[in-house]
Amino acid sequence: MKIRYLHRKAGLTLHVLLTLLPLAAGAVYALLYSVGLAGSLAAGFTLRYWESLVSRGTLWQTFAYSAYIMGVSIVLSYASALAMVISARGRLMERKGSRIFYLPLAMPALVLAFFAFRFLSGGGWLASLAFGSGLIASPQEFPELVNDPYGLGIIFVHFLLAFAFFSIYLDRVYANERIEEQVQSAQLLGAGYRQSLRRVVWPMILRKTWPAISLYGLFVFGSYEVPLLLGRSTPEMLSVRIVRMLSRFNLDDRPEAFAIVFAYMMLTVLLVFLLRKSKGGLR
Amino acid sequence: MLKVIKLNKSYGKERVLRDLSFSLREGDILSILGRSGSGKTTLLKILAGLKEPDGGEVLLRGQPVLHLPPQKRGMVYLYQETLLFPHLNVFENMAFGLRVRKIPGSEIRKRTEQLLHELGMAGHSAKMPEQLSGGQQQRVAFGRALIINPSLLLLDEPFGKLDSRTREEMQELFLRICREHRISVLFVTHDLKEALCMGDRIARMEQGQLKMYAKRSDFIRDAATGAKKEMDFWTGIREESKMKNNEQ
Repeated sequence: MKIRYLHRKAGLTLHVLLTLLPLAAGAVYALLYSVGLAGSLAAGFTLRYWESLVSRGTLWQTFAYSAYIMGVSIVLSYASALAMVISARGRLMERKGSRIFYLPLAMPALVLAFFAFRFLSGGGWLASLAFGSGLIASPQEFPELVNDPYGLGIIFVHFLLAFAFFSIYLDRVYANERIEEQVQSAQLLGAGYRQSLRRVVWPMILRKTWPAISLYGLFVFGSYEVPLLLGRSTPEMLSVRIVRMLSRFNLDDRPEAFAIVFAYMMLTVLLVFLLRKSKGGLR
Repeated sequence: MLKVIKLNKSYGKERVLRDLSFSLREGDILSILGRSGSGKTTLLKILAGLKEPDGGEVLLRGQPVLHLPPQKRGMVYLYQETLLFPHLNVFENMAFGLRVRKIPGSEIRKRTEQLLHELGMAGHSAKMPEQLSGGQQQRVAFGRALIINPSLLLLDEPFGKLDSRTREEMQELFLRICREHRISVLFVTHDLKEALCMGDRIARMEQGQLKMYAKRSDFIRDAATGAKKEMDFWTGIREESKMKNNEQ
């Protein structure tokens, strides 16, 4: 009993030391840097970097654009994966060739982004195919699908990754939660197929998968390699903007970059807190 | 009210139901006893519309039902596991069948509260399924089925996972409610005592067919049911303890 207690204590201490402490230290450093109390520009407390960010709208623009990419990618991939899992009745992974779903997940995001670039850009395979088949007269006529203002290329790659992840995950949830039997129960009580989807399948699956959706959403929100290769400089996703600001010659950009880092970390903490509070959330 | 005519079902080469026929009167409870794998569950699932038979006919109040989807048959099949909807509280689980029928809210409240009271669950209406004991979950599952006034209840070893005391309580409650509401029931069990306690009539599933017993005494007399052997065992125990008491 005592040994188990000590093991638990040791595990918790290790977790705090290895994960939470560096994160907390990073957050404190970012906050201090952003208010002029740390780093090479430290010259006493000031809010001018925060004011500058807020007044220029940079902070909101970056957050809004990242949220847009996250929202569209997650909604599209989750809805498509859910529709497929429901039609397969939770036996998607039992089908032949289903292991192909693991492939995008095993590939580095940068590699997928590179393939997407080769596939979707004006000089890429799709454009060559369109040109070869006479659909377009020159590569300039091919629509902007990468480095475009709507982030289509970024959404495409995140869709591929998230679709594979949600397909595998939702398939397991469907089987573990015995959704098929619950649908039968609902139908025996008089529900039509659509009613059973709306009143049973959808709320049950959403309740169970809400934490995974949120955490995956955060992953997309802070993604770096994919928007670096497939995005453009304005608008820009969060991580790309932070790294660009940190690596500029203008040292005045650094405190602003740390301000964005701190705001992002607080957003993450808030989300994890809300997930812990929610029913069926993180435990 | 229920007539099953020459029902057949095979899984691969194994014939689970062979020209199975029987009938059930309005308000009767028929206990069906049988070993695991004897086809009891398959029979109930075919009647409920969850499986398709290879051949045969099922008439409910004179009307064929095999072509109807489960939600239009007016039969409710209850599993051994209650399968309450985990995202709905007790009240909403119970009211589910009324909600999907788009019954007015005031009517739903009235009927659900009345049934909750009848099942001794009035104080638990806001609880979630995971906050209930096995017996309480079984009551909610039972109420959820009763509230839509089914023509026929199909119970597949519903009390199989309950401890003996809760099981007895549930059997009593179930019998009382079924008598009061005059519900027709097919009650599948592999428990000899439960089959005898619950059924107005008793049948035994054997080699894909249903052997009906006209009287309880016929059932006990049939050596294949094991009832005689069971009774002899308990009689022997009683005699033995009597003899020991006399010797002391």
